[in-house]
Amino acid sequence: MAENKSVLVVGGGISGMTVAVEAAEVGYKVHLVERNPFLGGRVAQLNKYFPKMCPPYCGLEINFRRIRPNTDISWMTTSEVVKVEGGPGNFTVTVKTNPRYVNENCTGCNKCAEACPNERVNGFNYGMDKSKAAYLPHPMSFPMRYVIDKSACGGDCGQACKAACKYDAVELDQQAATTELKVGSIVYATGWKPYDMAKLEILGKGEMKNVISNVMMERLASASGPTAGKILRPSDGKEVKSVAFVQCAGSRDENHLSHCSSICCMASLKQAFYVREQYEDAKAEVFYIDLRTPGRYEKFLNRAQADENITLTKGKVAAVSENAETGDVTVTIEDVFAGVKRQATFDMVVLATGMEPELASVGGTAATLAEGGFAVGDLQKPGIFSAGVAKAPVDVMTSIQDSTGTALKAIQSIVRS
Amino acid sequence: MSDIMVEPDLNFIKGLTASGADTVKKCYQCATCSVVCNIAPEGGPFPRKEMVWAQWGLKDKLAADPDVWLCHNCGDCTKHCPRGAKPAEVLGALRKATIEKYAMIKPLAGIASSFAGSFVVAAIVIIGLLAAIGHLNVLANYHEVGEDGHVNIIFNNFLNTHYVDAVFMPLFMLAVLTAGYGVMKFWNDICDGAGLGKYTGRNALPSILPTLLQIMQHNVFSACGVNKDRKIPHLLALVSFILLFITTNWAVVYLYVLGWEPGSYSSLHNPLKWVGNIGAIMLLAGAFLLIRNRKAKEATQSSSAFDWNLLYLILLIGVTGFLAQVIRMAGIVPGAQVMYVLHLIFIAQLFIFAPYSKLAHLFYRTTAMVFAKHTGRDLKVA
Repeated sequence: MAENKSVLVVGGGISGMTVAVEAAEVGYKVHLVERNPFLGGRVAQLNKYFPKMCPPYCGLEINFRRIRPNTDISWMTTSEVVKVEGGPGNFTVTVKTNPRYVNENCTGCNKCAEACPNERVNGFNYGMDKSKAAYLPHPMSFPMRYVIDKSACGGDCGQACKAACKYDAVELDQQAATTELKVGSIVYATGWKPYDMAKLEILGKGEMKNVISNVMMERLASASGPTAGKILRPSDGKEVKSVAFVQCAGSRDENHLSHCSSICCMASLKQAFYVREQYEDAKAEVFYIDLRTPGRYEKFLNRAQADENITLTKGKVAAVSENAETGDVTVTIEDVFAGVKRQATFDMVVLATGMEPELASVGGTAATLAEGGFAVGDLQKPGIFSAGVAKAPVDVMTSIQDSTGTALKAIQSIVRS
Repeated sequence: MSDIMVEPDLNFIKGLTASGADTVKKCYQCATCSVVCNIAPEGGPFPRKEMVWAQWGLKDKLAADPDVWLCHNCGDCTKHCPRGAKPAEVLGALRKATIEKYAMIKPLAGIASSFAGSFVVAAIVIIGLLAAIGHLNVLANYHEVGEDGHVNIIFNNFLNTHYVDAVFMPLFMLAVLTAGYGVMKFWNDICDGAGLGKYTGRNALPSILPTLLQIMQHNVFSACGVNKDRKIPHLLALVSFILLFITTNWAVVYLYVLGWEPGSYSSLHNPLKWVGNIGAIMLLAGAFLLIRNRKAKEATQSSSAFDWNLLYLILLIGVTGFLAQVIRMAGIVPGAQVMYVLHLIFIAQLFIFAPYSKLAHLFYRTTAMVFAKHTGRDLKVA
């Protein structure tokens, strides 16, 4: 049996949390390292899951509930792995924890934010609004603790936040700290980021206000989003009565992401339902290459097909233009079944941007990467594993199943070494 | 959509793959290409439909498809293709297949892909004829030394211009006739393919002049994205062909209408020589720039031997023609004669293979553009 019976999980999204609770609940110690100031990752930013259309907070809350009392899980937010040394059963890992400037005394009372004079671009809402420089990442943040964005809180800003806190929770002199961990195996659950729209040369380069990405659409539809859940278009706050969904915006494209991101078809159908649920007369058109709704997801597709106001058109959008006066967006396609080039104008266009794996951007990655930046699954280095989207572009359900299996692999590796 | 019976011709697909369309099977029919193409018409745009037809091996449908020729190889489809299926290159290979299909003398079409092969055929024709008329001794002295000591080389003395004409006029007529045969078959097939039936040829006559004017404007080339800078070089090459054609006919007038002596107009004082030389310079510049453009884009847009053969042939015609004149004027006796014969062989190569080499695009693309105008499917131009 290995000297170190603990597992390092890199990434505290739905996959990382799942690996952590599964391993810890069978008696192994887990270090869960997350770069953001909160756990939950991309799932926390979703409005609803497909196909059940339930809010992701349910699933997240269960995981938080399992993590909180478990003394075998030690989680670290605002932290990144910077170095990995050693081998299976005996890794030495260096973790850098960046200052949060708010300590455990925080009760989440919001007084610091109220007093904070400065604002910052809100990354949680993909830059569609601003928050105070002293902020709670999102309403259900775990840990329920504020953060101060020091880059946006210069001058007297920090003191103003500190003065407003009755609990002595603001620590403006916090410094970055380095921790050394001894672990037996490592699981990368580093997830993904949305593909950068600026790289999509023929789809507006991210420069058109009413051409948004699918992740932005999740925030627009979310009660905790910039519009409190009302789907309004960014340029003028108009209610959207016609929305185009552009599939494979970056995915399945060797000039961008050569892989199929696998979730975008379902995500766009789901978002078409968001629009249809909010506005009775709204129309949605999904432009696709192939609609990939495998297995029981086919029923979800059938539901969209049955809706007269949802049109599914085979033909990839390859030109987008925005009317400077009205803000309306015109897309050009070849309708493949009709064999005709066609232009259509919408209030707003949602690009189904794909999932770009984050693993390559994680410092000190010890994992072997495959083409496209995903971790090699089989034949990975001994003692190193990956779970969820770090390994392949998959949906939440598959990520969780994969993570449960990966927890077992990580444990086996410790037991064998 | 009506049902169609798909009868794939596997050999056709293999042939395409061998002639530069090895990427055709990568296409997954997303239709990005049809949208990013700046010149494809709204109704039935290309090249997406051609890609699937090519994958299915629908040889006859593709041969009867004018859109294969409406494509001007801008390369925008290849640039934006998410699969690296290179539609521009595939359509280039399809054009080659069409040329081969409508070839009247099939063996020549087979040789056209090989520069060396076509050169040998042309050389055999020219040298054989020279031998037949007893002029094979290239190094014999057919020059005169003038009173001022200047060496005057008169090609007519070495190789009588009437013999040259007796060879090239039939070669030219053969090219025109065999190309005409291909064009007529092509025209019938595209009319059939569009469900227009016979006799549409006469109705299309009014579309010919506007098409020729459009070709001279070269405005389709301006609409290209990636290959925009090809417009001037291609126009140079085209205009040079026209100028050199005029020059040739002008000489015919001197020789056979006005009854001038061969060679009597070969001094630079004759305006015929001015036009000829301007044409030659444009030909050289056009060929050089076209080759340079293709070389520069080699990493992203592949060119086949079919493409290179024509460009290098034009360049060689220009170079040998120009050198023959310079060496003749400088009085370098053996060099001038060798260069002159080489020049004649390259021209013969151009003529003999005109309906089978890439030069055939002159006939087929023009025909397709006339058809497009006739049927109201004009290309979108800048």
